[in-house]
Amino acid sequence: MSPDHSLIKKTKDLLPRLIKINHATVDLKDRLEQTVLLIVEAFEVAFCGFFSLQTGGDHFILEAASDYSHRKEGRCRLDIKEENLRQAIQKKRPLIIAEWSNDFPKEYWQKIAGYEPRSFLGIPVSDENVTYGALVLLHDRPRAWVQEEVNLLDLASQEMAGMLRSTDVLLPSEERIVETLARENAGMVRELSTLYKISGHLMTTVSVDEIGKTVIKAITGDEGLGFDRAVICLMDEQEEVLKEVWRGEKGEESSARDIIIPLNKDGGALARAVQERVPITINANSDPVLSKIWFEGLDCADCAVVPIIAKYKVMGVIVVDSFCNNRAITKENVCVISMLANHTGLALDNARLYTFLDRTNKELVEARGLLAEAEKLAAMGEMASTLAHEIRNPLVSIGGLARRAIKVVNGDNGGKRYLEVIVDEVGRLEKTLNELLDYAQEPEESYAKKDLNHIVEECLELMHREFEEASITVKKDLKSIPLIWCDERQIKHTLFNILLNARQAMPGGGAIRVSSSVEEDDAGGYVTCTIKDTGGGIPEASLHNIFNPFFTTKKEGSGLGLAISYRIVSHHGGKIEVENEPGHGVAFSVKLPMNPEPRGHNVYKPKNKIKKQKLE
Amino acid sequence: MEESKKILVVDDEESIHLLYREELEEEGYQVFSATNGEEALEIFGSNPIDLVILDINMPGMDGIEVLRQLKAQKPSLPVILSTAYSEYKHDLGSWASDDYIVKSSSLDELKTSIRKRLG
Repeated sequence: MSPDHSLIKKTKDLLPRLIKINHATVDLKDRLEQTVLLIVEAFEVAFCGFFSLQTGGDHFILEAASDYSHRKEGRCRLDIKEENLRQAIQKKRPLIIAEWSNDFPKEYWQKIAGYEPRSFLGIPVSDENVTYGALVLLHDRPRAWVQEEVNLLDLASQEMAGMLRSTDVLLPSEERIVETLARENAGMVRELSTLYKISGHLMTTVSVDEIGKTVIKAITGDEGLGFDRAVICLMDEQEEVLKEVWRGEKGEESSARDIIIPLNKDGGALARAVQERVPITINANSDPVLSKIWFEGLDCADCAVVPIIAKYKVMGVIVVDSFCNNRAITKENVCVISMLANHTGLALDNARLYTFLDRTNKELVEARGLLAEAEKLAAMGEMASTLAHEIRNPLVSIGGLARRAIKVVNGDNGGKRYLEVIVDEVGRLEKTLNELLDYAQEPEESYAKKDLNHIVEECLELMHREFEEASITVKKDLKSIPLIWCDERQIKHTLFNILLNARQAMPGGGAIRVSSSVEEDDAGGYVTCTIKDTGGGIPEASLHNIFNPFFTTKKEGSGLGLAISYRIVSHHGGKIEVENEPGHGVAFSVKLPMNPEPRGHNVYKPKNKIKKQKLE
Repeated sequence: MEESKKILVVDDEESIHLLYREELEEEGYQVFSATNGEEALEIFGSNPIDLVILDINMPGMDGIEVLRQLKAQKPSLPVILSTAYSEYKHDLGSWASDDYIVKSSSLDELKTSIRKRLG
């Protein structure tokens, strides 16, 4: 190949690329560095550098070099005092050394290149008014510098002069450090103030969900840290896995997907970040778990995986990336996200503590209620036992002897009628006493799987005649419901009490609607039997009392029916709900849990105080 | 004529004795009365008792102790526990009594139970 041809090729290659570099938006130093690299490549020389001529014109500073490996300091600040080059530049002429001779000092150049240079080419970088410095090419072998090559490099140097002119003057290095620092500072201040705002927000909420959403927004939003995507996974301590909880893109929160990550080697970088408690920067494509965290099959970029740690405990991880512009994650990025992760950890910990406190408080209130109820029952148990002995014996004697007296009284002289009244009244007192004792005593339980619909049907059957006599119509709407664990006798007692109340509420007739249904929930759900009447409802003032023992609105009632019913249903782990429409009617819903063993373990059972002695 | 069956009623209430005695004698039984545990064991020791109706809550020796001693002497003896309070019902099995009845002004349930045991 003739020198002309290779020159044309070099020209073709070099100039358009130079012009492209010149118009790129990278900063001046980058542009200079790219230029010298381009020249090394095009001219196949060992070294190329740009030296700026410093104020006063007595020394140079290496501003950009194709190779820094032989310089101890990171920055190019080695001053060279090179008279030959300086003179050449001032005359705006190239300095060409095809083969080095002894009258030309080489130690400076050796230091810069790291080897002994054998040929040299210096081209001034200047325009009409200003001399900016020199472009220097070094080669490790003697090399003829063809005039066309020198001309081409002259063109390159003019292009460089253009770069330098457009940036006004090349700032002295110290000033440039300050400028870079100022820029970095501005960025840090912006990030810090964002962090400050976020942490302020995080510390004012105790809702775990709000914390997660705020963090997602802070990472991906325009006002925030400016990443494209973020996912937060939290630890499930019982199962020892990470679960995705929140995700978002560009400030918009999207719903988290059902992703579970094991904390072993199958968990990839996420598990590693949790186990080693360090942030990890990794390309999502090289980690199967991460590419699953992002939408599979879509773009993956460099991710930062940062553990959320609070009080020495890993609570989860934050994963971020910038998939839109494929920007790499820098150390500073990781630093900022780690700070955010720390705040998140504290906020989550706070929220957990608050939730715990709140729950404990509720449990305490509930326990206090149960205790009060238990005390009431214990007192009643004691009273019942006393009543039983003090009242039942005389009642038995009175009633029993009155019955005997009826047999021996002759004729109908009125005495017999009195005795009959005594027997009836004693019967009523005994019934009340039995109810009271039923309430005060621990019921005998006999649980089995039963069909609530069947129990309802049996109760209605028992009440059939009574309803008919009272002109009460019964409408049934019994849905197919699963079997439940219950004490059939007790549940029958409960439903019977409610049906009896309904009948008594409608002395002039009416309608009863009995329905059953299933209600699913997290705890296993309930089967419900609802009994609704048209008996005018319960006066508002009485409503809060209806489950209290001895409260009654009826002339003939012990006030224990609903109290007993309530206790039975509580023992079953269920509840009774009342929907009252004063003036219209009332609906009682008995809800019994569907989970296998709903024995009301947390319900206090009063202990009988009388000592029992067993036969050995 | 067949000799009437002998029933021992143990209760600390005099009025209960009056009622039980009249009602049970009417049914053709011979009735013995004891107002406490010691007396009950004494009567049982000197009479061929066929069945015992036993109150549980009594001052001094209680009904359960009486039951234990009676059964120790004669395991086949039918004993009906009769009480004002049904709280002992759960322990019926472990006490090895034969029936358990809550006292009522109507003695129908008691009489049925006695008939079942004495034929």
